[in-house]
Amino acid sequence: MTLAVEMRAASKHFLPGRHLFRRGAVVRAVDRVSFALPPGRVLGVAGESGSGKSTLANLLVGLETPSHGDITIAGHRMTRRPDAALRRGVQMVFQDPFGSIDPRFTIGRTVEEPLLIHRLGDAAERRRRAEEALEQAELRPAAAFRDLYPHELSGGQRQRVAIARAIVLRPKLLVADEPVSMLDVSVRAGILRLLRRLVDEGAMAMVFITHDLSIVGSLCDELAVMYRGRFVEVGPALDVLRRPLHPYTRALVAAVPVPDPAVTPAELPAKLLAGGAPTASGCRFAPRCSLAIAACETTDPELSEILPAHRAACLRAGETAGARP
Amino acid sequence: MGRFTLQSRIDCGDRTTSVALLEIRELSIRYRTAGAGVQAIDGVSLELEAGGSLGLVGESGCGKSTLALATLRLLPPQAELAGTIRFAGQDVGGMKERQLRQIRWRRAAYVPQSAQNALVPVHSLRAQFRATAAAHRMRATEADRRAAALMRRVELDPALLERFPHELSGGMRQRAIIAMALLFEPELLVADEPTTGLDVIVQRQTVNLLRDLRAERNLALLFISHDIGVVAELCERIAVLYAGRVMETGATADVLGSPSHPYTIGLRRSFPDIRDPERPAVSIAGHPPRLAEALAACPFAPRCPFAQPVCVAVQPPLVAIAEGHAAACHFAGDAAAMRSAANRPGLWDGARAA
Repeated sequence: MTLAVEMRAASKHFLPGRHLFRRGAVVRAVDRVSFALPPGRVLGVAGESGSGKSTLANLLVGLETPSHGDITIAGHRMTRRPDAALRRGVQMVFQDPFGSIDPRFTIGRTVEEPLLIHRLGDAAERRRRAEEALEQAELRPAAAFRDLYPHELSGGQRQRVAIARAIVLRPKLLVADEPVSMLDVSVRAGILRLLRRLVDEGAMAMVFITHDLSIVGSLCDELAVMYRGRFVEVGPALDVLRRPLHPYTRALVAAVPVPDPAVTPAELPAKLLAGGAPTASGCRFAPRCSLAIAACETTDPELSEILPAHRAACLRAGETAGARP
Repeated sequence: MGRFTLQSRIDCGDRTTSVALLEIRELSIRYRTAGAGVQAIDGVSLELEAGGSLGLVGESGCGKSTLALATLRLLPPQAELAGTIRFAGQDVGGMKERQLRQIRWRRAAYVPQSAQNALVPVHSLRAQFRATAAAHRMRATEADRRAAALMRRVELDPALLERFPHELSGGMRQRAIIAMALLFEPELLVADEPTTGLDVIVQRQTVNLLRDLRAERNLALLFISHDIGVVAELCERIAVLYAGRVMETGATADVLGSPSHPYTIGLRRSFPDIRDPERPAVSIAGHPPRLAEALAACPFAPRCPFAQPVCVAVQPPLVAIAEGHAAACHFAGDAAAMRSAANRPGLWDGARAA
């Protein structure tokens, strides 16, 4: 079976501006990231702002070209100017359903737009496919939504329109960048279930980018935790959440608020909060890590398999694998 | 004799006082618009004691921010108020601007959601601390002294006072705003989603800071959030708002532990819990109403899986169901049954997609 997406040691480096700052270091927004995803699977990518999550998304949809390494979508290698077939193969759902939909277009026109851009079908065919996509996004009956404008819809409904627009081209890969973080909590679960169903039914893979670890478990098959451009832990989503191996993942899991006043909130180590710049050759998390040893300053650990299918880039992950988070 | 007794009781009440720091009685707020207007708050009564903490939770558009702004009378002129808001026994609604300035920031400070927009981009933090101080007649030298101490307290280097807002990270800006809010050692902090949009580790740091500040300064906290997880950690009491009304209120442990209004039950179940990552969260079909005027029915009825004909005909009053725990539902007495039914997946899906 063809992989829906494969990334091989892909990096994206940004050069610092020459004039504004004197001589900054190269920013490694994405640094030698590799993963492969077959159709029907969901990879969650979690990390804080600045970890490179969104640059990763931009690389996947071809909005950025990798500085090194390569990306393959459904067997076709992504080039500097990806052709139309390749671009159809990967679609994106953005964070903000208020900003990502043109307020002057009707819902029907919004969903037909990708078909128009790719010159697919005649008017009747486009209309049929748009209505089908709306129904798939659970905006039923589609005929009732087609002639509405975005301002007539709630945030959750708008995000469904954005999803319908993304699936109307029947992509192989859907990249969802924080698709529920701006929605009310009471409607988030419905959007997540919809995304999962579309992946399962549509033979599509999804990369789901989020900063919220609490929604990952019910949606994602695999979870990658990103820190300063690098995947520092990858594994089956529930394993990563229940038995995090990397100290950074442990901190992220511990920091999530629990809706139970009986639970005492975690105190975070001062070193984690103080931060500091990593050494050039060492582990990038070492300056914030309470487990760091001398070797962490000099060795930049690669991902290695600590538990079955569960990898972490930490010199001490093996020792701590048995410890409770 | 009767008169004497009555009089002495009033005197006694005034002196020993269980006067709440913040007392909101039957507050209704309506925004005049070009169209029909919006009933943002409808008959809300709340109390917050000195040193206490109250979390206001609810979805966007439920009136949380309107209520927060109203407590400091910071609403735009299109807002029409009915009912009373008392701060330390004084009627905020009837105050002159000069009297308000004695309270705003000095005794009751406000921490907005987006610290990015709350700070002036072209002034250093020191200049902004000084400007805030000057607006309330504090000298610059005193402001500088306090600013340095407060920056250290919120775990920021006082040297950052010379920096501009864009040079700070989001979490640092939020802590700088909290430091500024504490400039006059207020009794009340009104915080409107102060941790929303922060990364989870930074959010944890901010929540822990607010918790510690509250304990050491006997600071009362009115905390607005959509995140019941954060509220559970910070607030002793909670009020769940929906369509401008209090649906349920009580001690946080009671309201989250045994929610008795269907909306709270649904909201509680729509929150994922990291301790149980596999459990799918529910989604409450439909969306909150935008009310042009006060409704004579339960505003949640159209989305409520337990709704009965009475719910769309009669507005349920907020009634006590246990000591200090009240819910506005005709069927709050059957809460235990509703809670167990709520675990059935599909119950909340309703007819319409959200």
